[in-house]
Amino acid sequence: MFTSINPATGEPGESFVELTADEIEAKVAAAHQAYRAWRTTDLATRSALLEAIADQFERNKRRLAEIATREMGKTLKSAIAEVEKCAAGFRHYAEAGPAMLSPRTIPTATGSATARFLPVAVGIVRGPSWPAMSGCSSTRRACRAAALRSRKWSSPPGRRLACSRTSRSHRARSRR
Amino acid sequence: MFQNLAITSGKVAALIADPRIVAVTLTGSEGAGMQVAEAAGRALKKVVLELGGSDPFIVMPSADLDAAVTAAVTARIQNTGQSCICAKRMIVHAEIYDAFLVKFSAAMRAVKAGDPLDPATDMGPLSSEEQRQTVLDQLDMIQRAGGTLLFGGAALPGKGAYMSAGVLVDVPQDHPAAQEELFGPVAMVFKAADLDAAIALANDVPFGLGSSVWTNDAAERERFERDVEAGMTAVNQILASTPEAPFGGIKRSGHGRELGPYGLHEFMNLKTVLG
Repeated sequence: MFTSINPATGEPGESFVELTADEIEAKVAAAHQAYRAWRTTDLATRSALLEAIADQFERNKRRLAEIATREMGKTLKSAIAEVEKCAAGFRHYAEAGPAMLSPRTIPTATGSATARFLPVAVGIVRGPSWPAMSGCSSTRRACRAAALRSRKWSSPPGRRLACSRTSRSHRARSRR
Repeated sequence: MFQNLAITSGKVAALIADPRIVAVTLTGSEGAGMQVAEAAGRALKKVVLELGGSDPFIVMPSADLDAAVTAAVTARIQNTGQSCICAKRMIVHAEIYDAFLVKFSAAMRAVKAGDPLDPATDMGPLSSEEQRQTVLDQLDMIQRAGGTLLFGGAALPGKGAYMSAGVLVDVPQDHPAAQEELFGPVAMVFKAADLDAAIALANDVPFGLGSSVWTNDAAERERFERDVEAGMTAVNQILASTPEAPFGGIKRSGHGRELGPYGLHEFMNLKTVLG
């Protein structure tokens, strides 16, 4: 059991049960399945998903920022700035990502080669919201599924769970 | 799909070894980085590490001193000193050292620690009581090694992991205690005789994440860009991450890059197609 302690008050906050081996397996399997289903999606679909995630970050800005403040003690104004930065990050990859992934043609002695950026599979991202965004937007753009783990108490799980819920609601919405 | 796994550190190595997982990235401590890199190496998996930093903030006589002082305070106290890219070591040219120290000390004394929900607060508590104790222990070790804590760096009374902003001088940089990352709102201030001494001081730590240099001299700027051992150098501004630009470090601050096209390409199969 993980329990978040609000460093501003010393009071306990939300608690999270540690996953069992079966639950870990289910999540990794789901991520792997998602990768297989997503690896051939077109870039426009992926960009739309990233935009939708950015929208959700903005829509839930205050709630996400308050979780960060409660769990880490960072000022609310800086927590709001971090959520905005996460949204900007997702939006950046939605807009600039397709060009980053376009194939490069390289002349060779006997003709030419093409360098293509292809997704690989599931990756693990570990860290607070903004670094997690850095990993996740890249993984989404590249059509990979991210398995993200908690880091004891210095990196609060509540925020990640909130982000995770936000991401799931996006996926559901984008599929409708 | 984004999956959150609420698990302890002991469960990570097995996940990294899982054939369905092909890559790992960590933003965390040097110790955690070593464990993740070791597990990833054993499984031959790609890894990107964004670890600790002891970023230098160098101020030269040609710089706008007041702007540098204001930025130095923000760069040191952001996230109550707990950001990997906080400026942790202020390295100031001897010619302006005294003036910098007077202004910087006054501004650091004025930093208001308090309720993070209050818009008037400059910095909230540290992330935990444990982290505050770690910083207090580091300050104690640095002082025993010869460093002088001019003010601050003290636990505030009452509930919460609050600490006052502080300034350390006369720190023996080669002492092991001073070589570590100080993850709290206390700045070390060093005097550098000249440009070469400033660069040597900047590089005299095991880390190489970010740096911030303050100068209006083109030749000095070029030397800093070329010779400061860091993954990032901000000139006349605070170092900050932005989605468009690559972010990462060298030395024990990790390897690989996040953000920009470089971060996107870190975890992809760059396939060569001939013909």
